[in-house]
Amino acid sequence: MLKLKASVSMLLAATVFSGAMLSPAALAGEVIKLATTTSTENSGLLGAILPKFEAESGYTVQVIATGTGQALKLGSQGDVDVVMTHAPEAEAKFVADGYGVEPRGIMENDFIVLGPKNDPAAVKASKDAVDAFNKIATKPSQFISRGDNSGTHMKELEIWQAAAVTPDFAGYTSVGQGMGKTLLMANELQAYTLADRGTFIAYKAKLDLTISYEGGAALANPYQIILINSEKYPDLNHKGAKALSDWFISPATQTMINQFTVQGEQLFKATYKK
Amino acid sequence: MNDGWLALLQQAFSLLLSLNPDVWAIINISFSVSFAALLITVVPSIILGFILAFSHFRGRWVVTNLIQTLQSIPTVVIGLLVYLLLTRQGVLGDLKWLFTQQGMILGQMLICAPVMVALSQAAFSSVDRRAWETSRTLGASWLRAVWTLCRELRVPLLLAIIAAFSRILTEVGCSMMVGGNIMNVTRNIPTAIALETSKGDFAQAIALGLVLLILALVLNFILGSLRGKALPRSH
Amino acid sequence: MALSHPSVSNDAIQVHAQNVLMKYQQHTLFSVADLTFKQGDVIYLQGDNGSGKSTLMKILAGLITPTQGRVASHGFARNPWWQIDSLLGKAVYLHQHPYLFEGSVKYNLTYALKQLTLTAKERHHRIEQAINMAQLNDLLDHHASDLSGGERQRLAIARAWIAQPKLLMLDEPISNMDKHSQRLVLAMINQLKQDGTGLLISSHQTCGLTALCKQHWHIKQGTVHTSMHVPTTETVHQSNTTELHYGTTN
Repeated sequence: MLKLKASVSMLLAATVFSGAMLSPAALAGEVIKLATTTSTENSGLLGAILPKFEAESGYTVQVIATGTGQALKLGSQGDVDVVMTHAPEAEAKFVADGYGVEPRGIMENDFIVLGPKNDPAAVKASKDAVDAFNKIATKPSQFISRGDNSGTHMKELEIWQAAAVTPDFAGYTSVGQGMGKTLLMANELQAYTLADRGTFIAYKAKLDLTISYEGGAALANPYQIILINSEKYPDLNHKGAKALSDWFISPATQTMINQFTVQGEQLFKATYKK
Repeated sequence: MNDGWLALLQQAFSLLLSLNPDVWAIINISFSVSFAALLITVVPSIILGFILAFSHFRGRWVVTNLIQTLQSIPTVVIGLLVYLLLTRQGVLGDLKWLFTQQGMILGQMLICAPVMVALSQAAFSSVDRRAWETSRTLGASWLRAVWTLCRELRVPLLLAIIAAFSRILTEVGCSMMVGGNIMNVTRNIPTAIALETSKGDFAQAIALGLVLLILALVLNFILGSLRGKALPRSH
Repeated sequence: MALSHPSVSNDAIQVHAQNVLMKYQQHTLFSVADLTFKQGDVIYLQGDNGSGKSTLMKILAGLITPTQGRVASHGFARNPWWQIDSLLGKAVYLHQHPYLFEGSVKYNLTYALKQLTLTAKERHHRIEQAINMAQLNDLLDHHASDLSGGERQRLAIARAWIAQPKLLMLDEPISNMDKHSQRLVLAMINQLKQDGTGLLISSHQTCGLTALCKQHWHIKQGTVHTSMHVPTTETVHQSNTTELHYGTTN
């Protein structure tokens, strides 16, 4: 009997406890739900700069880090207040379909082709990204694809298309994981992969991979912040989302983006132009 | 990899022992969400288990099978279902529960209820029929007789509750999909482990894994000592 | 008074069964046209193993619904409005092997008291009486599962007695117990009889217990026969042998 009473009171205590815990966000002022890509979250940029926004504005930003495809999907379903992604074509469609408004290019970094140090496909000597991909497809080597509809994945598919290669050759593996996990897998398998520079620098210390190819217009990686159409979803936190978007393009924030470094290296270049 | 195993373990322990606020916030969210889900489901599940064991209504077979099936559905599928229900376009979209603890609680309720119903049904089926008859003939109301049976079956029912609790505390698929893994809000132990592993930050992943491991050991210890006491009664 | 087929009189507290038929799977266990068990009755229920003595008692207790027929209670206080008015709790049934709840002897003893509205003094008095009657004084804080067979039966009767049932059915109450407990149980049943509690007692043997009885119900060849004549040891023997004979020809 004693044991039963003890367990009942334990459960009761837990109710009170969890009741108090249920909505900490509601207590901390209004919430802005930001769907973004794993690359911005995993690189540590948002963790470094968002607390400043929260302190200044009183909003709480809840970051849902996912692939670009999923982030835009969440935006078009009205499940988040604002999105920040890096897939120009998909973003253009998102705006054209009437879901997104006021897209603003806030920063960019670039994509890089990573691979094992011994460079089995001899990618280092490529003249552009398309050439590099062609070499990986034709030489005996492995390629790991995000395969998750993310901005990086879309960029990769774009390059395969330009190279006229169907990405189903023997060394091609689609893993359906975030950038970080994909890098770790490429590292384990000593394979080539396409990554954003931000995540690569953040992970560099853990990886035995090197930059096999970089540079060129094809590998530019611009980030946009896009508001959700208030006509489609009137009850979202549009005010907060606008405040966040405005804050991102302010000169102070743009400077912070430029100053954000990981292991001494700048990850993002602020690009907002009026 | 420049971190040795020992160094990683050391980091993990110091994260826990130094009461690192991030780590403890995650642990807190895990327990409070799972406790809430458990608390809401425990009484209805046990009563349904009782009804399935004791009454022979039409369609009992269907319900029993449905619950057996629900028990074996992967948590990501339940996550998908709850996600589709809670998204703005979904049936329950007006609740705005997607990416909230309420949403996670709903998902975990759907995961733990079938386990508790099935296990309590098994417990009630095994009870000595005379316990029910004695209670009722002595004038106990239906509800008091059910409570008396629960008292008689406290060990197997507690086992059912613990089994359900450990299932929801450790599931990752539904929490990730429905909760969205938002720091300080919906990031619980399993989703944090998944994230930290994908970031290659193993120390925190190990620290959180240790919490689950310790919990599993404690629960198993409790289960073991309870089972020892659950020997059949002599008449 | 029509004794073999007592008519339903609304003033007596009673359980009344009409046209009851009990089937077990396809096989008819027993049937009875009219059966009344009322306060003040002391009935010896006789029948072979498997003839359905326990089943009949459970039907009268409301624990089993018969295949056909109806059982109703008369003269009892109504249940409070939030409870379904059922047969349960009217004629209290005691199992041959009593079920004791997990917990102390005291917990078991006071189980039925929780349903009653009694003052603390009445409550205390009732518990004292029950303890003395069953001679459980020294065992009160013992765990119920530590009791011997006789002690279990004493506790079960005291547990039922404490709520002062109007009708009580005892299924083989003194089988498998030591002489000391048998004497105590017999004394308890005698006390119940003096109090005017209606008693229905099944037993496979005639003994001091059956000698207390004033009526006789006999389940024979699938029918319940009622009479005012309680058989003595010899007559029971005779009827047992005849039943045995029927058993072999079947």
